[in-house]
Parts: sequence; C-alpha cells; structure tokens
Amino acid sequence: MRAWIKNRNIFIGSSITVALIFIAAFAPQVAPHDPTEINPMVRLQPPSKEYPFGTDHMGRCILSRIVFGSRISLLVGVVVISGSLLIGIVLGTISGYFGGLADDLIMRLVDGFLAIPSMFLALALAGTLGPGMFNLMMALIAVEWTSYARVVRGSILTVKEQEFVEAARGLGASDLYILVHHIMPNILSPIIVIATLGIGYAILAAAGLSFLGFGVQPPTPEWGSMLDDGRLFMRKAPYIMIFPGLAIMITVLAFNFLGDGLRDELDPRFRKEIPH
Amino acid sequence: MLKKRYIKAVDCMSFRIDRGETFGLVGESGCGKTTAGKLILRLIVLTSVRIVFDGIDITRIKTREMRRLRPRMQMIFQNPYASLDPRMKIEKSIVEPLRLKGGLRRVEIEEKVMDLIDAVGLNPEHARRYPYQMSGGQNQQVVLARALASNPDFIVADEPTSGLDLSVQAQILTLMKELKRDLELTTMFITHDLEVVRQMSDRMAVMYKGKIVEMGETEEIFSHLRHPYAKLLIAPDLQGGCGHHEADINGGNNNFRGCVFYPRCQLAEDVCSKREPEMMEVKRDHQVLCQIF
Repeated sequence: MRAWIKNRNIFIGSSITVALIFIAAFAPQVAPHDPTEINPMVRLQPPSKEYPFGTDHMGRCILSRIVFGSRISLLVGVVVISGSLLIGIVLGTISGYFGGLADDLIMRLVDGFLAIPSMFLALALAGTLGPGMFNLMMALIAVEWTSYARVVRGSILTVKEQEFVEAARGLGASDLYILVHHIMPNILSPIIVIATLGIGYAILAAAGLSFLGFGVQPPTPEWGSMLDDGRLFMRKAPYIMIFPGLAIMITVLAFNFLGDGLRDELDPRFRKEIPH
Repeated sequence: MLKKRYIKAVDCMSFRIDRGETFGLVGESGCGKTTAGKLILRLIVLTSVRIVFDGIDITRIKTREMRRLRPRMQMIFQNPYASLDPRMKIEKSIVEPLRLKGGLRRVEIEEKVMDLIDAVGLNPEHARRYPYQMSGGQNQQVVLARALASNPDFIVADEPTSGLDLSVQAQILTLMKELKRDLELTTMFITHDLEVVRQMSDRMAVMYKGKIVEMGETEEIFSHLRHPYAKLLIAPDLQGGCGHHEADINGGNNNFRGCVFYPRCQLAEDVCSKREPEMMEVKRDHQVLCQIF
C-alpha cells in the first residue's frame, strides 16, 4: 500500500478522482447557482466574482453546470465500464476457458465489431436508439465490451495452462471453483488497469456523442453538450467552451494517470519481493 | 486448415502398483514419464487406456464421479512454484484440498492445517506467506502438505526434487519416506535420477520413448540389467561408456515397425528393425522389452 502512495501517477490520478467524486456527490452544496436557472440579464458574462467561470448564452452559471455535469460524466463512465466488463468477462471467460465452437463464435463476433470504427459504430447505434442518456450508455457498452472480452480471453488462456490450475483439478475442483478461486484472482490486475483507463475513454466518448447531440438532452448540464452550446459564441465568449473542455481533459487525464500507475504497481514483475 | 500431427507420448504401457509400495519410473527427459503420471490420475484426456484404481475402472466413470475420487489420489508436480497459485497464501493453499473434499468443520480444518504444516516441517509463521516469499524447498513442502491433506491412498510424485539443491533434496526425500511409512501411502515416483529411484522405490520401470523397456523389483533391476537402454541409462560403464549414438532418424515416423530403441541400440540386430519386441518375463517380476538381450 505504501508503494501505491509513492507512485506519482496513482497519487495524482486518485487525488483528482476523489475530488471529482466529492464534487459530484455534493454538487448542490458546491455549486454557487442553480445549473438550469435561465437569467437573460447576465448572458455571456466573462468570469467574475459572482460567476467564476462566466455565464453562457442563457445566463446560466458555467461553474455550476460543470459541477453538476460531473455527476453525468462519472455516472456514464462507471455504468459503461461496468456493463462492458460484465459482458466482456462472461463472454471472454466462456471463450478463453472453454474454447471450442463457443470461442470461435464469440471471437468472430468481436472481430466483426472491431471491423467498424468504434466511434462510428457508437454514433450509428446512438442515432438508431434515439437521444437520451440511457441509450447513450447502451451504445457505448455495445462498442466497448469487445476489448474487455479479448483481454479476459487472452489472460485466461495463459493462466489456465499453468500447473496450479491442473493441480486444483487434481484436488477435485470443478470448473466453476477453478474459475472463481484461481483464474479470476490471477487475471484481476490487467482487468483493473484496462477498466480504469476505459472509464476515461468512456467519459470522452460520451462527451463526444453529447456534443453531437446524441446524449443527454437539455437543459441537463453535460460537459459535451456544454461545448456544443458554446460553439456559436466561440469568438465572443470562449470561456463557455474552455471550462467544460478543461473539465473533460482533467477528468480523462486523472483516470489515465490512475490506470497507468495501477499498471505499474499491479504488474508482478515490478511488485515481487525477493524470496528469502 | 492445418492438420494436427499426433505423437505417441505414451504407448502400450502396462503396469501395476501394489498397495503400500513405491513404484519408480525412470527415463530420460521427454520419454513420457510425466504424461504417464498424469494419465494415471486422468489429468489429461485419455485415448485408449484402462486404469483401475482400487478396483474401480476410472477410465469409464463420469467426470463428476472422478472428482469425488480425486481426494484419494494426489499428484506432486515437478515445479513447486508453478503448482502453487501465486495469489494464494500458503495457508489457503493447504486448506483448499480439505475444503474440496468437504465434510469438515472450520475448526477441524484449521487444526488439520496446522498439523500438516508441522508434519512436513514448516513453521506456523509460513502460513501467512505467499509462494514467492518462500524458497523452492519450502514450497515443495507446501505442495507435499497439500497432497497429504485429503488423506490420499495414492500419490504420483513427478520429480519432486529435481528443482531443488542437494541438501534440500535429501530433506524432502527423507520426509517423503517417513510420511510414506507413517501413512502407508502407495506412491508412484517419477524421476530421472537413478540414485533417487534406488533409494525410494520397491519396484521400478525404465521408460524409453513412451514404452516401458524394463520393469521389476528395484534391486533385481539394478543388479541384473537386461535391456540395452536400461544398461546405457543405469550402468553406462558396462558398455564401455556412452560413446556415440546414431542420430535418431525415426523421430516422428509412425510407420516404423521395429523396436523403439533400434536407432540408438549398439547391440541391434536385423530383426530389431523389422519386428516389434514384446514384454518378456526373464524372472519372476522382472520383465524386459527386448528380443535379443
């Protein structure tokens, strides 16, 4: 645990993440204004004491909208990754552990998904399903699960051939027991790493889709759609775009730092103590 | 797409192991010793074999029934590091066979684990360690404790000492001998170390390329060697040193009809390349797979 705190990537990443979770959880207390309150008197105001990040074209407080927007972004990130992980682990396990026809079918399905550029596929799915946060998350899960299935399958393929798995079978362990007690703990670290990195990617993709109008609908504050709102006033009031853009960048960066740091710490090659 | 090629790793082997005895299996690397050991325990897919364990034909029973039998037969693998789950503490590794066997209460399991740790010569403090924090010898002791946990009748020990240095090797072997005596275990001891097999086993078999070429009581074999390969392996001096061997031209040729050892045999005669030898009894409980010895 001490090594984890010493790791700079983990320290920066987790600090920002914790701060984000705190902001999202206490959004009503943190935000100085109501994020959806329209006030035509203060349209397009530059940052000031009253509105630290300025106001948008409807006179809404940008800081407050960013604060509330963090709820949506984190929610999308966590839900998309949980959903993708669930599908990815189940299918990847069937594919990697049991092999055979199921493996062929699942992997060809994955290949099919990977043949289409992921953003394009997500766009097409989100467009077909219609706008809305739920549909946005479904579209992203449909795109994201493939990489988890592949990583899980690959990890299982190497772990299942190891002698301790055979030893467990020799003790009379069932497939389910072996999967739960031996395989899963041994493939957990790569999964944690890609899931952490994946949250950042999912948030970015969700903001992208929202920017294009497929995600969360107004007046709900969302970082991607805030960028879209500011687009028309980019010259006159660049802060409408700058601050949500920074929010997205910092969040994605935080998860990437965390993921990179965890990769370093969880890799047994760097972690193992010298036997004595 | 690609056609699979099959190699007979183990071929036409037939042997029995009596209750309470230690049966040694020796042979050079890659001759199929490990495969034979795993086959016996049905750890690899069977093609055409019949294995009878305590009167039960384990080749014909279902996987589920086999699982119930498994606690009665255990395997000790070659590499102690690889056969222990790196993410499991030693204690949990030893608890595992007890849990899988079932029928014990928590307190009983804890007690038994401590007994086992003691029996194989480990300290209670080792229980909370991970395999990578222990030495090879200590890990092999853990593997031994695991194998003994379910009170098995039969243990296959696949080169349990090959990765260990000499002093630890001796320690493990002594331990195994003691345990065998105390627990009346039946053991199959797989090794390429002739000293070890002589020390440990009551009866033994010499394997070459998936076949048993000589089998019998250990002392009888060591003193009255018959098969040319066994001689080469056990007493190279008798043939004037290992000398040179012809290249093994019949490596993967499944059509070759003669004796498996023909390409390397220095005593080979014409007949050896044409006819496959059969197991012959040269004495009571001493068999040889050679037609010209």
